[in-house]
Amino acid sequence: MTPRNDAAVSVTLDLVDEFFGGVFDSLASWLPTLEQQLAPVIRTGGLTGAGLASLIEADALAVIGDAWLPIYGAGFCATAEVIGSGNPLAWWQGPQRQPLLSAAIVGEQYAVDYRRLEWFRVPERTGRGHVAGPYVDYLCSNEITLTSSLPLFVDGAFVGVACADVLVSSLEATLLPAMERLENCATLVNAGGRVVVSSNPDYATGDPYRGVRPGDSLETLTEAVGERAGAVVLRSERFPLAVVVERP
Amino acid sequence: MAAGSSRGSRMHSAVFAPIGDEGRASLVEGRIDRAISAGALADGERLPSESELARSFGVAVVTVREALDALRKRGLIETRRGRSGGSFVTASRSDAVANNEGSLLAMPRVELNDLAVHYETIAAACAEFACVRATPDELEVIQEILAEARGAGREAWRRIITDVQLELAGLSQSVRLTREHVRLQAEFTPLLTLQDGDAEARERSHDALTEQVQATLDRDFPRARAAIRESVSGSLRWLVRRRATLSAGLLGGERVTLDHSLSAQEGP
Repeated sequence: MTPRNDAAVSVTLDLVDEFFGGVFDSLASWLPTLEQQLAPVIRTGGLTGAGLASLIEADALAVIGDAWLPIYGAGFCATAEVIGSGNPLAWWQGPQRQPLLSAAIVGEQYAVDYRRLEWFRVPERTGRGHVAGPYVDYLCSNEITLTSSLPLFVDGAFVGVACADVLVSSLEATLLPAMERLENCATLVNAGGRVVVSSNPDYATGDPYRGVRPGDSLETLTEAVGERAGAVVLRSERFPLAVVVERP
Repeated sequence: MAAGSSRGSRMHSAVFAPIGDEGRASLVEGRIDRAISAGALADGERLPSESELARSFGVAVVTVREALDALRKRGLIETRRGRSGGSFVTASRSDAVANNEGSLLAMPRVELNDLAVHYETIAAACAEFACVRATPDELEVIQEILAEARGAGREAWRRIITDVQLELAGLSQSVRLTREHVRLQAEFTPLLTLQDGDAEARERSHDALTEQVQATLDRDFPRARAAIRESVSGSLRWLVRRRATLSAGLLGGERVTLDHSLSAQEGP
């Protein structure tokens, strides 16, 4: 088995860590401001969808505007408990950085149940950041997307997630050239063994990696792949992602 | 937020997705009209402002204004002035039903059949990829939503069902198939809502969808495919019957005479 520190192979994982490191740095540096802006309003119970959007717009746009990261969209999704009325999701996206329109509608009830979405659910459950996807995001980007999210706490209570979307096509532009320079095929997979980007012509984004069932853990993947000669699984220490390198 | 109180459904978001291109007032009008017909925009719901709509659709403000004018003339929205003003959906459910029945009658049966074929094919293609790619987690969330929807009211039930169908399409991990599904769903849902007053028809759709999710969880494509067929052909049969009743109502006694002469011809 190739050692983990194999420079040529780990270069892909380094790129992945650097990429998502940048995304999470951007989100993490936003959190203190968010807390400062939202905490007083949340404590008085006066936070509305429209209020949320106007409070955070400038900083959300700054996350999208981060010069060296291809961030497609960004925003904050509050829990239903802290939003009195309006849409708990304040979101901006695309080259024009337009607001997601449902955020602008003044309705009585809002209602995509965000709790069922992975980028909301996982940080709510674990209290930690998460990279969700790849998934077809027909709610926001309408593209195949990865959503990075960080939970926000006010007085120890979970109040929502700050998120940034990256399109798989943008991540691919960063990773694929380096992957294609390797002798063997490299594939970035998520924690459920789902292919994100691969230099292996047999894999498409969304496929389960060979030998695992969709949703299987990276441990299962490592076991399954480890039985094949010359195959290596490099797991990211910071993100729920891994790079698998093996002959096609 | 209970899924049952849903207003901002997936279809709801699709309503306002960018259209691109300039000067497309009728496209904007059609999008909002279909959303009202499908129940994605409910009676009394306030539309975003003209500038917000323009930004979101990716068209000029004058284009949006033109579209809203047309919708206002057709009585689908009304505009109120003042601080709490704006454009509001005014079509009641009976208006929506009448509107959708009109569409059903106006659509040639051959086209209705073909719409069902197209819808069924795209749904089945999505299901085939979802059977390979979807995780149990993703499907279990859908199962929960579906189970909760059993007791929902008519409009809420349709919104949840539409959400679930789009969610299932998305599990194919194909952007193109999902977009095609969204497009077809926007076209088909206004007709499908006509059967929502029929408890038996709702039960049938609900059962078929539940079976589709379970089959996808079991990675059993033929079973998922069969559930989709069952659901679409059931709805189609219902719509064809409804269409016949409506057109009989229009024709009055003529139809009876026609039937009579036919059966007379078939006699010995």
